[in-house]
Amino acid sequence: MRHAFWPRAVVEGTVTLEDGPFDVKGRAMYSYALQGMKPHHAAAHWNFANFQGPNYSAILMEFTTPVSYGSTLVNVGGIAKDGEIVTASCLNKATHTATKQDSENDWPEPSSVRFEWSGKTKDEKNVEGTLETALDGRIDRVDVMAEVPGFVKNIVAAAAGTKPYIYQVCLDIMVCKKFTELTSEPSSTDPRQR
Amino acid sequence: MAGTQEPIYGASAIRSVAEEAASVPYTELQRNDLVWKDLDMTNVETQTFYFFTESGRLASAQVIYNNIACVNFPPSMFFYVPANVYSATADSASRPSSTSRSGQTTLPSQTSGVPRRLITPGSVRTAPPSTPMTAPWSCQRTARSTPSRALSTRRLS
Repeated sequence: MRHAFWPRAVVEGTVTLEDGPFDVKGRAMYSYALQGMKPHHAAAHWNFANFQGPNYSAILMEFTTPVSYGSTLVNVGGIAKDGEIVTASCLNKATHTATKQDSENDWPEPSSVRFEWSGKTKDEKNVEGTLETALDGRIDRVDVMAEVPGFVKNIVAAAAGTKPYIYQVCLDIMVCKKFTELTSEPSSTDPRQR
Repeated sequence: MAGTQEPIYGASAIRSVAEEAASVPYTELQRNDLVWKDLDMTNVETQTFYFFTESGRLASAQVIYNNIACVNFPPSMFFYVPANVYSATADSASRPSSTSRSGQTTLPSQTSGVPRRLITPGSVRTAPPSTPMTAPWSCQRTARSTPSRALSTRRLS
């Protein structure tokens, strides 16, 4: 499995859709993934975070392998600002701080999360970032096996526990969330960035 | 494929990138880190842009190239706006479709009822040359050189 990310970019232009031109002008993030194995054998759980702000961008990808690979957790993430990477590491964390039962598929849908970034800058200063928010803006629940006939899905779910869903949430968190950068000097804290 | 269970290989069968990251936490991407690998083995390769527009809409543009047991599937391109998916594959021209209008072809609806629309070369426009996009490649040229040109190099003979 190989991933490459470009965490902070800008975009301009339009895409013509059925209902007319769609203006994409704004911020962007790019990812490149290569999975050299059946995807459902690579990971059982995923958490993704993508934060785009005026000064900083932060991305995080965390997955847990199925039991076949020891339920191993891998986390990759980083923080960028205009023109440079602030930090990137495998020391980050994604936590579901609260969940609620999804009555339709019986999964515990996260209702609030905390993403934590941790790493060093190029000049060896410690950096931490935290994003904590309630997820009250679910835009999509994707049934990954939606196009598989219902009875097959049920057999698969019963036999292998495979019942893949993706919960996608988009929030405007510019207003009330904080993203702080700590330096290695304990007594000083950088001003909060939004 | 779905629903097949794997034997228990154990945690020693996975080598996490965290091991390398302990000494070299990250590297900065160069242009050739982003070229398609086009491997000769079962794999899925995908590149995706996620857009956060000034108008508050979300969108993503994705190209996926599947190779399952050495059978190359034509690469698919998706432009995804939440609640609607617009997709095209390299062989869509040979599929039955409804009559086109102004160069665009409507593909038959999938079972999920989501309408899909072929994204033709001319329909993806980018910013004029004077305002280049800051993106990993010269995205402006890539997008304008059209998805179908990128896809056609992948066509199986």
